Amino acid sequence: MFDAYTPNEVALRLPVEVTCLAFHESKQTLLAGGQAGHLYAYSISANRRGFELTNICKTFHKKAVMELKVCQREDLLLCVSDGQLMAHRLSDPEYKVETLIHKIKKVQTFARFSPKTSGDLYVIVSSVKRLYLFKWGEKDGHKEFIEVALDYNPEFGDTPTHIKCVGEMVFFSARNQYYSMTMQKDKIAARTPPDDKSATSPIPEGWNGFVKSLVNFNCKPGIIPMIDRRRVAFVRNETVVTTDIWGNRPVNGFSDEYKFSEVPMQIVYDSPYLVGMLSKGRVEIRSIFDGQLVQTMSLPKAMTLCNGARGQVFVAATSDIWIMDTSQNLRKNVSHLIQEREFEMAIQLADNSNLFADEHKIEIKKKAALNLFNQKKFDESFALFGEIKTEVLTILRMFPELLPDGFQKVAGTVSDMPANDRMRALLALGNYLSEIRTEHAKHIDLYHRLRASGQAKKADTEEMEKLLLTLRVVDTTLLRCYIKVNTKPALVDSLIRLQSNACTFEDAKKILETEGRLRSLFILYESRKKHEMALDLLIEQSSRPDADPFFDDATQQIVEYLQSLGNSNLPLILKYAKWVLAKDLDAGVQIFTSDETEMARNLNRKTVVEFMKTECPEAMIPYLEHVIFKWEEPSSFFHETLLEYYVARVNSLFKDYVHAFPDAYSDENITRAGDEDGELGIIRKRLLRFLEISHSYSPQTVLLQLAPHAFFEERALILGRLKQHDQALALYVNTLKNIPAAEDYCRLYYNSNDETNSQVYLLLFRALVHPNQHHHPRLQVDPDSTPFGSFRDDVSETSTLANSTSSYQPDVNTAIKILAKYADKIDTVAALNMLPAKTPLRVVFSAINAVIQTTGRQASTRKMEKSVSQCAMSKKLERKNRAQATKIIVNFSSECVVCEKKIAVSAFVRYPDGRLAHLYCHNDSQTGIRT
Amino acid sequence: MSILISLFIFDISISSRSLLGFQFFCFQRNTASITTMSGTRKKALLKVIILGDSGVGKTSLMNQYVNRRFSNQYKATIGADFLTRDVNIDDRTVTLQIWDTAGQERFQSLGVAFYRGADCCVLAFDVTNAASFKSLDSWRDEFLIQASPRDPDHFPFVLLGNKVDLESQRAVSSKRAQSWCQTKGNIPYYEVSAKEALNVEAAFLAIARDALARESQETNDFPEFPDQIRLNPNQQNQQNSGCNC
Repeated sequence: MFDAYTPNEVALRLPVEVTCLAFHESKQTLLAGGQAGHLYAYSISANRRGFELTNICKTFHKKAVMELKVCQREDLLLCVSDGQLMAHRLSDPEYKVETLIHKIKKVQTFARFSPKTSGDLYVIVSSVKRLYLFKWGEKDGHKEFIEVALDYNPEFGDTPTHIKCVGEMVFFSARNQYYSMTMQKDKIAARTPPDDKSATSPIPEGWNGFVKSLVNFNCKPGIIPMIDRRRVAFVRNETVVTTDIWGNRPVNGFSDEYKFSEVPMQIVYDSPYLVGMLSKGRVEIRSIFDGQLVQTMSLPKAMTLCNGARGQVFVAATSDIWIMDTSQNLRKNVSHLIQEREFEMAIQLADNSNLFADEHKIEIKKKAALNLFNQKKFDESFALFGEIKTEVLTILRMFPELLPDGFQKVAGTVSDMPANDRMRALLALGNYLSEIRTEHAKHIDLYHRLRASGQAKKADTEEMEKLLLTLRVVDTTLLRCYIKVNTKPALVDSLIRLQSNACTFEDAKKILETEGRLRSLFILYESRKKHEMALDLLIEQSSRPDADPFFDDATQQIVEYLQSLGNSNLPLILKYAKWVLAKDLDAGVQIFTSDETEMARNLNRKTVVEFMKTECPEAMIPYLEHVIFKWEEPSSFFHETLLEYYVARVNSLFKDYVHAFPDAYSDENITRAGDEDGELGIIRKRLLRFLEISHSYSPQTVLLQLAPHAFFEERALILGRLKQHDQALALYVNTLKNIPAAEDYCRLYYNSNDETNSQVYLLLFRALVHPNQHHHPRLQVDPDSTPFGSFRDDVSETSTLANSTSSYQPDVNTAIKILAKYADKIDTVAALNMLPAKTPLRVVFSAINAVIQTTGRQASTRKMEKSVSQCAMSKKLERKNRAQATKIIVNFSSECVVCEKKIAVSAFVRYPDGRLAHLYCHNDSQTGIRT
Repeated sequence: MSILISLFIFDISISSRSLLGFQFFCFQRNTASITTMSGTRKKALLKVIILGDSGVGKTSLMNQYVNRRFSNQYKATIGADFLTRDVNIDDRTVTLQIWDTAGQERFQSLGVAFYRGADCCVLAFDVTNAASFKSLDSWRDEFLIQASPRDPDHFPFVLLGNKVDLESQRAVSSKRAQSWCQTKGNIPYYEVSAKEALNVEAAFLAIARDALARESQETNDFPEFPDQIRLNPNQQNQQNSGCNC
């Protein structure tokens, strides 16, 4: 207990009985209404000592003044007397009556209602079991109270005796019950457009109220709004119960209850105290925080209380008025409270008053925050520390385990607390630090934006360095904190990944290493772009059987990591790719062939090829296949390299293959190219496809590289590229004996518009009929004139080789079939001429049949074409004749329509309508139009 | 911290705006609870925050879900705003308070108070924009650090891939998004289109369900303060080495 208030007299031994008080704050004036209808005004005297009577209005009212209310902004003094609600002019020394509400004669009580959504002044008036709403507005040229429709559910059966409004809520008492009424402006009434054109009267405003009963009571009613605490208190016998400002009771029971020593007659709230008027002039003051009795005092015959300025309460007895003031003992009280560790109250008192310097207030709050910390109310403590912007380091000192060595140890730290409390402290610290780091990061980010726009000043830069330094400490500590608090390990990774993370790399590394958090360590390396460290870690972990499951797929992780690096880190990529390639070829190739991002696609392909050449030739084929087929690389360098590797591979595989299956290519057991078992077949198929698709390789090099005595399909394709169809087809027919493949070949190269390529079917025919004769006279090419002289030797070598072993039998039957099948694509006469003279006619028959049919078809086509042409021709001739039949007479009177001179013997033109013009004039006029 | 006064004004206006919005909401909610006073069931309110790069369609998703409207016009969101919609889940009425945020703002500008108290965080990206997918990690990290949820491993996140109506321009495959979700503890993933109202309803319903399930679990898990704190340091170490998250 302490003396919160000191009573001082305002006026003593007044001649009349005081009935009610009101305080006019801006003028520091107390207005007192009297039993006889008088009004007294007391102001603080000029010498600041006590109050003095500044005005007395004996004609204020005729009957006792029951209620007074100051409406400063509207310059009104509202007053109830003799059941009438009147508005007086506040600034008028005579307090002239401005207006009065005529409609209601028996006003019980009233309250001002100022909804947040409008700036207007409303009053809610209670009279004979009803509530009315009036709005202060203009009507017929002067201000007065206009009634506004108020529609509510009449839950109460008696006249409301006490009303208080908080925002849109109205609280009132009727008989033995408190009620709340939720007010809502009638939107429909406001929105409906005026149907009748009587626009002179706007749509009447309307309000809806929803009345709900709250609690019952059995004493003098008292409703006390406590706006700063967002609560409303209700007097209920000797107890005061509270609700939130919507009238809802706390869910967890009656937590905010205050008990007075007897039933109070009136209570006012003067933060942080509830001041209650008890019987026999006793005033009881209780703390709002814990309801403890703070002070009691006795003022003879005191009856009424009234709030003055903050920290002041006026008390009226029948003929005396006092003021109770907190300021006199305030300093003493605050230090007393601090000593008693009643920090909440101390802070509230200091904040309410202007007697305390800011530093002093901060000092108090700091003590309070420390006290909360020691009480293990960590969240509240940090909130308070945050409010006064305490240096983060001050707080961190309480957590020595989180600080690096070298920070001085202080007493009363969390180290001395039991483990459970320490954990709670760390959790709260984490929340607090994350808020601090967010704030700091935000400011740093703003600074960077400022600097980017060139607006940063030097002072800002210094400030920024300070902020960065703090952020570094905060982030590092937060990291330690998250690691210690075991429920939040996931946050460690998130924190490290943050773009604004300011942890020192070395510190973070050390922390994570000591804790063995390799996964987080990897994320640290990755986010700080320490690529080598990250990759080394992955490699190291990949070989450990006891590694974190995070590293289960380390190879894949390395691949993905390398894929994200891009051209600027190419040497690094190659360095680690070597490791991956050695471990897993497919994965290694993926490093260079990923389509997830553009990174891999944009890598320098030549460098990659050079790298593979020396480090991993096996990777070359899959890599270049991807580059050429998927990314459509046009450069011949890559095509030739791929071909080179194909050929080398095929050659070596072939050697093994022939060794394993010596008779694989014998005449009885023909294995087609690409049908070989195992890798050879696969690679040959791909090689053939490549030869067919690609146009960027040089055939002669390939021919040189391919092993002799084999790879005839490949050779044939390459020869075809060189238009050496006779040799290619000879390979199919004689060496491979694969006529369908030869047909496929013809289909690939046939082109009726190309002189050479149009002959492929005929060449096939010839190859079948005259297998031992290679050079068709019409296709004779001088070997020296071609740029491929070198390869021709090679080819002729193989063919002579082939020829030397056996002389091929002509296959007339197949030739005839070919002729029949492709009669439309073969020069049939030439073909038939090639047939040996002794060929039996019945063999040729089917072919001749096809030839005749084709010839017939061609003949009829020609006929048709001829008729169409003739038809067109005759039409044209007819037109020509018609044109020639026109007669033009040019005589001496014929004039040019342009220059109006005689045509005479000049060249002229005739227009379709018969007019004539000089040729030159015509040309001139044409160009004239054009320009 | 005295720098950049002019820029702060912007921040202040944001906070006051959302504060006003919030108060208004309280009022609304209050009246609602009065009118349904006969029913004793408590009404649940779930705060859902949508995060993601600018232009991925956060506002459109919210508008489609709450107002069933879509506009092709792009308008950048400033600060944060919310809409509410009631949904019924297992005969329980739940009010979803969906907070739309500005993708253009830097992460920190809304402040930790905004993130704390969220029941579910919806991460959104544009399937035709690979960069918006890449930013997801940042949004998630920033949310986790600022919101500091009690149990970050199990905080309900949901991933929405928007604009699937533009299939031909797709830059992020469904598989890629799904595998990202897997690495983040099996976050549910929905491919949606705010424009064609594709899957939006289903996604938000799932979001509400998730958040609700989490909420009831949270009250069971943490009656007063987190009881998952391990006091035995040995046990702690064991868990570190065998971490399977």
